[in-house]
Amino acid sequence: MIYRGRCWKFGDNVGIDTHIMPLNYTLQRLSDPQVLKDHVFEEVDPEFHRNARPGDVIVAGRRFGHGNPHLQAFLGIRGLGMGVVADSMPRGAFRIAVYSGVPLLAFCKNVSECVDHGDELQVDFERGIVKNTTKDTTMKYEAPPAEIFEIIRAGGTIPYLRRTIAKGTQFVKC
Amino acid sequence: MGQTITEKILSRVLGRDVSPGEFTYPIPDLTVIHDGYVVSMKKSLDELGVTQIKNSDRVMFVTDHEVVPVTQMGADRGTQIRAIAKAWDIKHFYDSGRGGIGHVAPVEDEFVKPGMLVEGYDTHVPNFGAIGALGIPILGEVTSVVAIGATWILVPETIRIDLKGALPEGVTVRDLGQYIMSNIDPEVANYTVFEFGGPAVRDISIDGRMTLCNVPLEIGTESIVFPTDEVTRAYYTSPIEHIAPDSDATYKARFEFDLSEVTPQISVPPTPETVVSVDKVTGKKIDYAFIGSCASGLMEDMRQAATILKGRKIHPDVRLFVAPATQRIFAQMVKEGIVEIFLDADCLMLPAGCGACPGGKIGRVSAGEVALCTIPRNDSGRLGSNDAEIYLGSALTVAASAVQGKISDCRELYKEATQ
Repeated sequence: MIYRGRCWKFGDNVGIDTHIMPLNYTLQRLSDPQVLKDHVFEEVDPEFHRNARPGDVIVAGRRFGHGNPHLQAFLGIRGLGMGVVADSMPRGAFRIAVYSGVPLLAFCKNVSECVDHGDELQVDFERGIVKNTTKDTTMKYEAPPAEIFEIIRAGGTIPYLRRTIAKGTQFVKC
Repeated sequence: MGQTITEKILSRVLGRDVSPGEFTYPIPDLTVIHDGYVVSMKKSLDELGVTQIKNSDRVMFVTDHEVVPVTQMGADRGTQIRAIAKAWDIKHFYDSGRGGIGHVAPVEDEFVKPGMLVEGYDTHVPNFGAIGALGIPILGEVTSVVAIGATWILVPETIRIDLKGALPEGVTVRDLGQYIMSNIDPEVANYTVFEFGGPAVRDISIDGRMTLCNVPLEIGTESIVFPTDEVTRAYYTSPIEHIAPDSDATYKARFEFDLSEVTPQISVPPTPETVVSVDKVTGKKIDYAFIGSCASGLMEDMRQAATILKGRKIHPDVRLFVAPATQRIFAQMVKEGIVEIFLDADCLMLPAGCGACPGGKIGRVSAGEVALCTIPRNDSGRLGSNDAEIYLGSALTVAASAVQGKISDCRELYKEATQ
């Protein structure tokens, strides 16, 4: 799974409710990525959703997506068709990113220091390779486990479940 | 090789020994889903063509976020949830007026027991760690649990936290929780389980353990768990399984905290882990106060607040809302005269449940207000307006500050009240 696009650089401690998605939309229980995409980073940069393009990659510092892991934040990012690469992501954010089908490299120490806003990137999420075409550098990180990547490749938990149910897989206590 | 509590519980559920980092699909003993997600989950299942859920006897619905709907949308959602519960034959259903917060009431009812694996659509489901159960917040993945019976869990590493010494007068486990959170690097805590131990644990009640299984979660901890001991055994009316780590268990890191060094702690905006000693913010005027939530809406918190509020009025410029975590706590407060103390002090009693905490469903703050609360989080919008400042502290701190109209060191009033 390879994304080619521009880098949207963010610093440390980007929060779910505080930055990525205003809590208001969570409380409305919105769940359509195509609706939520228009509100991503709304309070930080109202033009973000207009300027971001599918294939672009958010490159963030430490603790991207800290705070209460409301699904709406990453469903919105999914709606924009963006990937995420971060120095680190808290467990809750990691979980909802996978649920939403957002390709991610969650533990890339110091990656945010190696890119600038607007750099052209080529990110191979499955192999953990971040290629900065603008700076002509390549970095290698730990990719999510293959099983997790299967869920992301399917488009998130719901499409993955559709496939799993079709295969007849289930876990039932006797 | 020795195992931590987390490894033991997951190994038991999976029927084989597991190690940190393993990708697993454990079948939880219980999955708790709150009223904010039942309808969305049903919609997803409809799209998937799932008409009958798996292991329905292990699924619990809890209406705790919007106990008393104040909008038509909320009221209609309640009706939909009741219909879904009937259609799916959900036997464990705490509707409005039943039980209380979904990760407190099932412990009171002795339904959740030591050694259980409980998953849930609620970030604070680790409260169950207080009695030696492992609570893992899985959020939207509850859809997977009801559709196919399980979801993925990467077996987490464990961090051991030993507690020693005794809390000084006027300092509470809530302060300890905030203190711990501010003294552990979130990068180290991320995706681990905190396992408490050490000599001071025996002095901490189940209420206090719930607070400690809740407050430090905000730095990215997967879950928090206590071993069982005489305190746990005394809490249950029937014999329980003993849960403890092996003496040669492997930990990612170890921390030790001396309780005697803790002072009243305040989380300042914009995150709960931004914690300072109370003296750094003393004197900050407050408009709004709230005592409640799964972190600190327990009987012990109510008793603490009552100590300060007895015979006093809160400051005329402050509204103080109180929401007991459960119906039973509310009833006990009535019995002990605590409700009368709060009413005499000019507090507003809210129904048992989450109260104002989830986005100000009831008792909102308005723009420009300063709030001091016992809730777990202080993100903007948590109590309503995005433009309110939210500070967090113990029930003692909130009560003392509400009386004085400003953030205060509760130790003075506490000393006066207990002399």
